Amino acid sequence: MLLENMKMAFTALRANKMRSFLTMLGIIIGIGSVISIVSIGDTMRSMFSSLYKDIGITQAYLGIGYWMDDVRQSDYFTMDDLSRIQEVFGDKISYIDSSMSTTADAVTKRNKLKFNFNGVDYRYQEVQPVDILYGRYLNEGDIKGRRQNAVIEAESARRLYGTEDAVGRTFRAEIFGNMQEYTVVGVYEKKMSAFQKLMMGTPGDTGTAYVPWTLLTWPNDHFYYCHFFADVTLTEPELNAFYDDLLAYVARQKERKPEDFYMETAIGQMGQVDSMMAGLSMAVGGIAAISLIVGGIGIMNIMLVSVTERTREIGIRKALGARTRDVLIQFLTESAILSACGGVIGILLGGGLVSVVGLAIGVPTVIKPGVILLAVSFSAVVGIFFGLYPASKAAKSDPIEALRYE
Amino acid sequence: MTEIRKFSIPGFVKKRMGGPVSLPEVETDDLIRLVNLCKVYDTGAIKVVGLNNINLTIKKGEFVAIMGQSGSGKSTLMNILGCLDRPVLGHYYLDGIDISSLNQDQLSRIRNQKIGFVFQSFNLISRTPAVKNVELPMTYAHVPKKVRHERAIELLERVGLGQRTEHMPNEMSGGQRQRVAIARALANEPPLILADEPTGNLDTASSIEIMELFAKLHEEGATVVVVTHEEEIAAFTERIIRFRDGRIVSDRRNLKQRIPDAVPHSREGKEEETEECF
Repeated sequence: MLLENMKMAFTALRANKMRSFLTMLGIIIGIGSVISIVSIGDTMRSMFSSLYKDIGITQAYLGIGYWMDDVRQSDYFTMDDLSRIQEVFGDKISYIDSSMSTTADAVTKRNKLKFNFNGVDYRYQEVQPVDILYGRYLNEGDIKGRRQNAVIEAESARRLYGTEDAVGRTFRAEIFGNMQEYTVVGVYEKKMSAFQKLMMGTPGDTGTAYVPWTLLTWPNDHFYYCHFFADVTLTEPELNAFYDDLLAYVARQKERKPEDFYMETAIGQMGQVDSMMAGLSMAVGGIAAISLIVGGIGIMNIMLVSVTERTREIGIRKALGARTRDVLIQFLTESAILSACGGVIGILLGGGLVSVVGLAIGVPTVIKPGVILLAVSFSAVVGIFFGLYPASKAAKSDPIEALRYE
Repeated sequence: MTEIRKFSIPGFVKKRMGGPVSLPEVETDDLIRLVNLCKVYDTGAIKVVGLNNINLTIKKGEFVAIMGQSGSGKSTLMNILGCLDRPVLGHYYLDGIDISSLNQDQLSRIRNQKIGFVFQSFNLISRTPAVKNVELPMTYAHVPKKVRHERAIELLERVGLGQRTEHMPNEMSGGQRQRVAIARALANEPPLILADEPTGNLDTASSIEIMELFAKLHEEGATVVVVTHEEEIAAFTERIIRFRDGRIVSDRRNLKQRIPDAVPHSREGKEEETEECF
């Protein structure tokens, strides 16, 4: 009987193709916009999460709180602090440095370019891999021997020397008031997606170079942050526990409370961005869902017209033995099908649009099956809810009146 | 016209139809029995009497015409006989079942199982092929798809429309449409065929065809009640009941019944009846 009803409903809807389509349009637009907005949100979230994976999901900075009034010199970090932390936490820390960097002009005989010099360890390559195009990365000897060697980024190399193969070339730079000559030992390239470039900022006019951190940090220097990467094999709870332990340890060392320090973790930032995006797409999706209600009212309107038009048919059916329930189900099926068809078309349209745009700008799109399921069931519910009144009006009509209706 | 095969609803289908909508089985010879039946329309300020104390019995196998001017109460009676409306006072027994005691769903079942309607304006469902129209009462009786399709084809053949099963109502003439309606009325083998002005929208030739078809059905054992105001139509029946102002004013056998296949346009057999009325 259900199949019978569905067949009957399709016949009735086909009889008024244009009207059925226009009625569906409300639902199509509603579902289409909900699907595309939620999918755009999900896609953004997945892009952020891959971005954070790329920059190192276990990366974190730890420093004395910027809100502290009575900062003592002992609150800052020294090289000894870093090696102690490394000793205490061992395997859980895969990399630690002072995060010292500075900006200076790199000068050659013909050229001059502003550079960002990042002081890193030779093991930085393990946690932040880059593609070495020419030459080599910094090695242990460079660090220990405090050699004036640099690994520069390919684009910077082209700007400074006019070629990417700059291995062996030299430049002069005044770092911390000390003019020295540096030798390029390697040229690297970091591959980034369009989205990453957008988020990380393009190098622009400034070049980037890695130099041994020992050049920027002296053994008895005090510095603001301790920059480290935890072991990537840690699970999220283990990672958070590790961060807490580290904070507690550092606080104890500095005779401070853990609250006096701040710790900025990649995973924490990612969580913030993620929940912000989720909230945003929920809010906009909710607004789009209002259009579904408008679409539902459109369905109710057309169903009321249809019931009036088909008063006589309803009378005939009742005279031939249709019960109130039979007529009710017939019209409910019709409105549910109308709405569900609109829902399916809306999904195809919304999902298709997001996929095509994603393909065009080269971003892998995320369309969750759960969202689709929710959209379809929501549209069917809209159809049944807004079909209820017209259908009950049809079902309750008096067969004598209905048969007499012209 | 081929003899129709005896049709019965299979047991498993009957079980599904059961539940609250079951009908009592009563053995009786009286198909219709009206006892002190009254129908009053309450329009607020005034009460209009539609039917006034009607007592009437129609036996199985009768061919009856109900006649009267408009406003005579014949339409009201038609609605009550068709179980579309319920009397205010009195009792209506259809096939032994007291209609006034039934609920809406049971009335639907009665209309489905006990009555075959034929209307003046055909009342076929538009944009639906003839065969589907004939299947409709069987659909509501939950007859399996294959069975009802075969039976619908048989019925259409029986009314002489074997070649037009897939035609839409708007592709057929009035006479053909009415024959589809008659086939539909026969679908569930109801004991009563109730025709409300069946020839009202037809030309003379088609009217005679339709009345001959009713006469044929009557010969085959059906009980046919025709409501009409045309003497020529009533002339085909064997009993004529006349209404005026909500009362029966005459109820007698039609002595000069017009037999099927008689010469068309013969007007004999009607004058005698009219002079009985006041």
